[in-house]
Amino acid sequence: MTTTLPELAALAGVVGSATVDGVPVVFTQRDGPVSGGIFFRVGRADETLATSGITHLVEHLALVGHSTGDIHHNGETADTYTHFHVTGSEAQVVAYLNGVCASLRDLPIHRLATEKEILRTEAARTTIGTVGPQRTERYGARGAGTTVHGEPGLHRLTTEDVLEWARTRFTRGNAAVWMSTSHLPDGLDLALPEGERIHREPVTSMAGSRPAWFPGREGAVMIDAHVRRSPAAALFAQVASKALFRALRTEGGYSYAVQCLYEPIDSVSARVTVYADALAEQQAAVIGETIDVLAGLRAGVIDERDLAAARDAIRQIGESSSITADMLPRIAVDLLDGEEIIPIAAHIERYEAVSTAQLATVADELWNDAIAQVPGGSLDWAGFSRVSAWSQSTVAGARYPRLGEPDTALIIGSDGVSFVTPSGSATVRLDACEAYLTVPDGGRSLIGSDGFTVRIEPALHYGITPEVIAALDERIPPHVVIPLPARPADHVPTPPVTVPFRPSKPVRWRGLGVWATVLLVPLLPFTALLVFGSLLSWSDIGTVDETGEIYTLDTAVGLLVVAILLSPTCAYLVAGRVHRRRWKRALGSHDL
Amino acid sequence: MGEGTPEGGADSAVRSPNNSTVTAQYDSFATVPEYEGLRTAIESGRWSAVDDALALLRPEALGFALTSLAEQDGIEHALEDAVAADPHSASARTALAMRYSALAWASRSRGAASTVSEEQFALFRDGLVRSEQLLLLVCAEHPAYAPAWAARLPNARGLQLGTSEARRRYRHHAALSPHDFPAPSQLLQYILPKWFGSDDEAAAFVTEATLAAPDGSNSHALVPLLHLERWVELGNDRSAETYFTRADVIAEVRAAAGRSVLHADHELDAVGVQAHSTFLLVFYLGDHYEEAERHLDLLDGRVSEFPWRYALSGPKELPNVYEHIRTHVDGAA
Repeated sequence: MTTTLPELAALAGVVGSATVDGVPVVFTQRDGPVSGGIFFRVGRADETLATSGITHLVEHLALVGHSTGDIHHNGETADTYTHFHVTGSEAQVVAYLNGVCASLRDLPIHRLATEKEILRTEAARTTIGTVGPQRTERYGARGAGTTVHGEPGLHRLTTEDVLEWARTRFTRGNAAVWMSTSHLPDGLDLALPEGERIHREPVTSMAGSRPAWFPGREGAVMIDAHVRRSPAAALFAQVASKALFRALRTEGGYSYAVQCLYEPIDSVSARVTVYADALAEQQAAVIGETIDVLAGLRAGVIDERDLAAARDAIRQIGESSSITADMLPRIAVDLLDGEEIIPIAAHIERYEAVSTAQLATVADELWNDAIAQVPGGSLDWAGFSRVSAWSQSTVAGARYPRLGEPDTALIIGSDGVSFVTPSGSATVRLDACEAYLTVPDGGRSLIGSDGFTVRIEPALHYGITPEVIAALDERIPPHVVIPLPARPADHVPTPPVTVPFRPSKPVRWRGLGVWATVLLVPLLPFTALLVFGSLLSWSDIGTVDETGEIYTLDTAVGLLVVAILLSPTCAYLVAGRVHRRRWKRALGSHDL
Repeated sequence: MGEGTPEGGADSAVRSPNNSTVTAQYDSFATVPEYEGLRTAIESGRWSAVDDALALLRPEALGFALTSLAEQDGIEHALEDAVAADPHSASARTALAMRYSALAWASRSRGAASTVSEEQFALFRDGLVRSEQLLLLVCAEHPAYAPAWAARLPNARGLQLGTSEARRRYRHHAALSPHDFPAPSQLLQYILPKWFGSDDEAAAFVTEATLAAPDGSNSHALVPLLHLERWVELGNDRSAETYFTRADVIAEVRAAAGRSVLHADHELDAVGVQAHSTFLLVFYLGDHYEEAERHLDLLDGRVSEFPWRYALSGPKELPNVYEHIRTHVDGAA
């Protein structure tokens, strides 16, 4: 088999390779129907929140018009790559790949609005589960952490954005093709736009103390960590899977699904993820056993049965007759990522050479970088620190108390926005704002790069006027603004307490405060006395009192007029007192 | 506490019940005769000698010896030195962890949770976490070392880790050292109504734990222990006064005594003394003096703090109890 790509030299005679229209193609024979695919080195981790969904959108647009016919094909947008693949006859595979490339050259952009709708529907069906919080705690709202928030970028992406993304990412320099054929098929037309390879960004976790834990959803324990990418780490995941399965399921009966997953994330690092599900009444035992199994592996206490089972599983993969063809997609990805490409036998030799001491080292790396999501309780007993539930700082700015909860408030400042509660505060600084979601009714959401979200609901806070929102809007970098459509009326929050009226002047002036009391104390009884006095003495008109004065109608009317004039003053002061009290109760002690 | 030792207060009290000047005291690490070799080894300051002495004890006794050791005031300094000298030692780290745990429980005080101050609670939790981190490493490195698993049981309770976690720790311990008395007593505490369980759960556990236990095993003392807990739970209720005179209660306790400390296979060591004393206390509280005296005779002057704290404020009351039993038996005769 002819190999022309130097990167595939180690596979000479096993895997053929060629370059078609500047795109590398790898191929090897497999019995049965032909499979093939094209990879692009672009994925969701290349997006920001504001552009989230753009790769998925291009993938969907590229497949418009391919949905007819009975061959099995699909597109997949992963974190670091996009893959179009198909199974059928050789001619069908060639036609499919040519079709995808033709679509990418000339995207059916008229379908943009429709495909956006389809993607939004798809996103609404996706559940984030246990992985979502795990990604947020490790990556915030960047890279692999963006996927947690769905694809809000779809709401702001323009035709130009999408065309530009396709033109720069879906290029011949950023693609690799694989096919399960013994030869390079005729008729491939992979003429994509010219472009450079876009290399993966190194994946980094947010800073923070490790090992750490945070409270998660009921029913599962999840622990992940970054470790050095190596055969030892890959084998470790297999060994840990066996050990955890034996301890948690076979012997303990605490869990049903138990797994340890190894995922290379860049050229030097891999993510190891431990997952175990748990019935509510067994959650504590699942946490304890998982920690003990990992601590055991870290101490180098590795059960021979687990190690043997893990090696067997890898050997079995190597013994499969179609293993090389099955590995073609992996080879294509490695080619794009610039990874070393070696034969299967060499891979297996590397696994065989892993020592138990190396496995223990991987376990130690896992432990030292672990973030654990536990369904209840704490992990302080195992030496894990609590992932902070709150931001470390609060911005300075105007304070807008929450109606009915005077100790909770939004602070809107020139540097950012904080939501402060008696327990702590969440802050998004404008220079670290990944997305600014807006709705026409005035609601705003800021998502910070560390994963914290601050929602602004003007109806729930005192003093957030349209002017305040407009002033904030102006300070937001335009490239993170995502305008969302209007919310249904029942999704717009309503104030939890009845507000008597909107004050037109500061509360401290309303009702004159203590002066009202000072004035009311003599005024109220005096006025009451005048009213009652003038009414009661109506029948005395014309009589002479003890001083000899004649009590005339004029006197009685005069008294009444004075009383009537004083009454509104009293009423104004009393009403002012009542309003002032109600406002103070609604807003707490915070002066505005 | 051997025959004729000067501090053998309880011993003297039993032998001379009319001598009111005799003061009684409980067995402690310093007085238990089986710990003679262990005491010498600790005084030698070489932890390898301690390990050799510990190796002579059977698993249940080994765990209890470490518990007794951890109750020694100031022992943490010697244990910290031992751990520093041999950071991977299972026994030294377990003993130190148990000492941290004992100090933590002491800082919490024995009262109900509502009587514990926030500051006490923080100290308590810190101490237990310190203990746990040592035990986590010991269990990881030496998964077959039973005393470490047993030591994690009271920690699970103090840290409120959850019933399933306490049971998991017990399961690991029971697989290594089945039919003990101290470890299941610790799990029993967790699943009693006064902590995080219910009477049904506790009763089911005692039945399960004793059903499989061989004759002569101390674990049958879980039966009178559960009854003591039920009696305490009754508090000032009138039914508490007659609880131990109930025929069904006494019948269960008698049957358990027959399979346990009264069986020919029973061995009287420090844990055996606790098991005996548990039966003794129940018979004493139920006015079954002849049966009480039988345990008193078999105890041969040895006395453990457990379970007397269920009924007595201190060891000074012991001579009166013993005298009370002897007088009633003599009177009846």
